[in-house]
Amino acid sequence: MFPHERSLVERLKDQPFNLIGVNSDKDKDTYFAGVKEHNISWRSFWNGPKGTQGPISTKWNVRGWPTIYVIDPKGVIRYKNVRGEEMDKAIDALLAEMKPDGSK
Amino acid sequence: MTMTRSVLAGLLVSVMLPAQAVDASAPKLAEYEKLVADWTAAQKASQAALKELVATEEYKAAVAAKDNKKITELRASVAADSKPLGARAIALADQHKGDVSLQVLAYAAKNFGDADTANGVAERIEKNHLKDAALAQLLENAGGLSRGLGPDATNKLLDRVIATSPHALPKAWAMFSQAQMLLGVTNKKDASDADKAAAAEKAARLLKAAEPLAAGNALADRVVPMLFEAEHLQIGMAVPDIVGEDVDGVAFKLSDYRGKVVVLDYWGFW
Repeated sequence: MFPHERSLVERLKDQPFNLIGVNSDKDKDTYFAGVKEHNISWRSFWNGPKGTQGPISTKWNVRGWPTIYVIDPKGVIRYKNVRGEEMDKAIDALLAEMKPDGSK
Repeated sequence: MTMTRSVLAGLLVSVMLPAQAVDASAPKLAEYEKLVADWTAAQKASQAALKELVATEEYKAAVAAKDNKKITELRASVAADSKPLGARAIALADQHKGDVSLQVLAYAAKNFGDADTANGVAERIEKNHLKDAALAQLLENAGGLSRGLGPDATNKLLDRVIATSPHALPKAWAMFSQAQMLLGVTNKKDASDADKAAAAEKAARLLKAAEPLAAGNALADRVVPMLFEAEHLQIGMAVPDIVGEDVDGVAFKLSDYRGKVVVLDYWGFW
């Protein structure tokens, strides 16, 4: 998962795109060690000391990890749980919509 | 590391799951205890066989090729056969009445996912237990039953519970289970947008009806987030804001990123 997301963030660094995480490590040290080891650059909410049982994921009824939502610039949920190439395609389609000639 | 996480997670769970603990409300019957012991032993044997299976070249090749059909097939070949144990459970349930009979059926509904057992259990619920308060305990953990019956027959049985039960909790569990199946549809890749929207709406209606019935029970804590998913987290809906702190303790909101394409990723290193 990380290598794909890392290359995605790298590829789209000049585009109007952000990957926002909800990190569910109970222990922040686990997070900081992992971020360093895997060279992770995106920002994450912290789900708190209860980890996967934390308040954000509980409210959102998250039962599988990772869970992915793709959101357009207007704040509308457009795709759910797309992975790998599918995720890339979804993002590229939304970025294309943002261009004046790319509206469909 | 090409194996998908879900396959890996399933594998770990099935290898590491401890032997079934005997439920506190389990009936004190020698035949029941023997049944539980035999199923526990069958599962242990199946886990050992699975351990051998995952080390075979054939299995590794299927994983490398991401051939999920083959992986499922291979795993099914070492799964414990629940059919004979299910038949014993049903015969035992038939020798008893009321809650004792229901508890034996609940064990079968939880553990045995074959169609024969599921049909036998469903038949007996319909005939003898639709008005029992303890039906809630069976419905709370009926993964085997719904696997064995399939979605349509499961829904039909749950409809009967909702229409017939004089008790709040079995009704609430039946509604919750139906909503859970409907939300499964909203996450299916091949379902149409219209089908997904209809499923989410129906799930929300069921959960709203279940909410007051589940009040004061642990089920209520599961109804609320599922209702949130049905009403606010569907494709085409305005994403709810998240107001929180990043891992460094700096406050921010999901809506700070409006105007950009955002991938929201629930993740962790664990």
